[in-house]
Amino acid sequence: MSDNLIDDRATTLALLQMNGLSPTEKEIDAMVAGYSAARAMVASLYSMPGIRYEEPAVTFDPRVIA
Amino acid sequence: MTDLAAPRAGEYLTITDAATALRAGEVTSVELVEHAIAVSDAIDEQVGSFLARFDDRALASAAEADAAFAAGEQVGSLHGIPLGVKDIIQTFEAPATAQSLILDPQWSSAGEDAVVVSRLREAGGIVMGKLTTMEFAIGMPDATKPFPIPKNPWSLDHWAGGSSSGSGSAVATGAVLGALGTDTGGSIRVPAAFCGVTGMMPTFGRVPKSGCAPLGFSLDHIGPMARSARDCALMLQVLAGHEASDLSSIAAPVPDYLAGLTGDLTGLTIGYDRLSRAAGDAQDPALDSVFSAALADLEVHGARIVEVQLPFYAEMTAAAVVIMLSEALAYHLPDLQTRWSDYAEGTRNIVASGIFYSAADYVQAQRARRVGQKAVAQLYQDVDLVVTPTSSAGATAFSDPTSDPGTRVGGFGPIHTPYWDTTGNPVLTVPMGLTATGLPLGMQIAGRPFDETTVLRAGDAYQAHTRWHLRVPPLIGKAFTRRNAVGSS
Repeated sequence: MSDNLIDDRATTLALLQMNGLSPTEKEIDAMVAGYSAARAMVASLYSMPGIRYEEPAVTFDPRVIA
Repeated sequence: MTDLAAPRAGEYLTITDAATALRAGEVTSVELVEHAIAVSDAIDEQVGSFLARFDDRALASAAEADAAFAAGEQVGSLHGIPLGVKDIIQTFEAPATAQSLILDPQWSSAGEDAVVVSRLREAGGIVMGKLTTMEFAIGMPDATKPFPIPKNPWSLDHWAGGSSSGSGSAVATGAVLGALGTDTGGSIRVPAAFCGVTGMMPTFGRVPKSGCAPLGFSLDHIGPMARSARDCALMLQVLAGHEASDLSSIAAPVPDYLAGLTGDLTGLTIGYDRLSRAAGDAQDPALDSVFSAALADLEVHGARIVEVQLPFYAEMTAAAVVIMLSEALAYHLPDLQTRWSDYAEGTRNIVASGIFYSAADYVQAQRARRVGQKAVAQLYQDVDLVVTPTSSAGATAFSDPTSDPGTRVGGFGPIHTPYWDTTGNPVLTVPMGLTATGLPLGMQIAGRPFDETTVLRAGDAYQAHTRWHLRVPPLIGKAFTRRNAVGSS
């Protein structure tokens, strides 16, 4: 097992524990295998040209609507 | 079993034709509903379109509809038309189960219609039943759970696509003439493309979502699925419009969509992107020639065709995944903690992978969305529409786990739908041909925000000159030999 995979497993297990989730061992293995790809995908969002000062596409209206 | 080869009244492929025939007295609503019931009786056990059927109530509603016609009453545009509703949307007849054992009481308490269902009924539509989905509109079919497996009527060894699976398959077989689907990453357009029918994801905020179980709050859309772009226009006319109870609903004027169906494309510039770079090895061998033929059809009918490249394609797809899974996890986390095994395996694993993304990642994805939105707006300064394959491959085989789109956490491979959920633009998918093995392929037609009119115009003009949208699966084909010849292009 590579060092990266060990790290991915440790991180995944910590995230599962933090979120109170208890998958099966087989499911944990599958999640560990997908962790690096998921993080690489997110990394691409931090390097987009023009994003440094962009506002998120979420808004809030202080008026309560029933 | 019903003999589908026997000629019967009530055989119409499109809402438009059925509505015309109803008004001309050539058919009754009862006959339309009886035909729809006959189709379901004959094949639904194999295809798995329905979670619940309301046959008796539908027949009673049809009789009332016929009485209104006979009395010369003013009736709505969908009067007497058999329709279906995806089972994450509330109807008064039965619980919205979201095809889940979780049975969140917010949606599973029968007795109330979602806003969109109320609008369909006000227009005279008849709800035939609740249609299959993936659990809470995400995941994959799971044979260990007590729900039907939604199969593709073109090949029962293949998935109908999801998550509006039953909506796609029921329209394809004629079990309904139109249906409601929902779309967060492609859940209207994928099953429409896989089942060879037409489906529209309207602009985000165009159609209210009140009464629909959420998947990704800031990405969810409800839209029509039917045989043709014209039918989708008819349904969208009824569905669109501001609703205060949906915080995402936008108060924008609703144009006359049918009036915009001019039948030609003169004056329009259409950009195209083959997206082969995203599909890679998963692309079907027939895709290039099928898509080229579709582009040629658009050009012949007046459009100027130019090649474009969708900006930030990978990033917008990534943003869709991060946003959808983060928002889905927020909704499902308490139930995942306490009822893990009640969820289908595919659903729980995909939703749980939302733990990989931090709060900062979620905000960053929403910032990326703004960047992408601006880049797309820039693109639309040069073109009126953008077309791409809906998917570069046909329906997924149940035997092929590697091509399972629902379990690809990092991307969608040959499926090109999530991009537009992120940007919020309206998109229609229309059937454009067949894969090398004879399964349907779809073409996405995407327009400027709130310009569904131009999108529908292009789809309708394309379908005025092609017949892909009228092809019916071999399973059901004999049922339509009397009234509708099936074309080859």
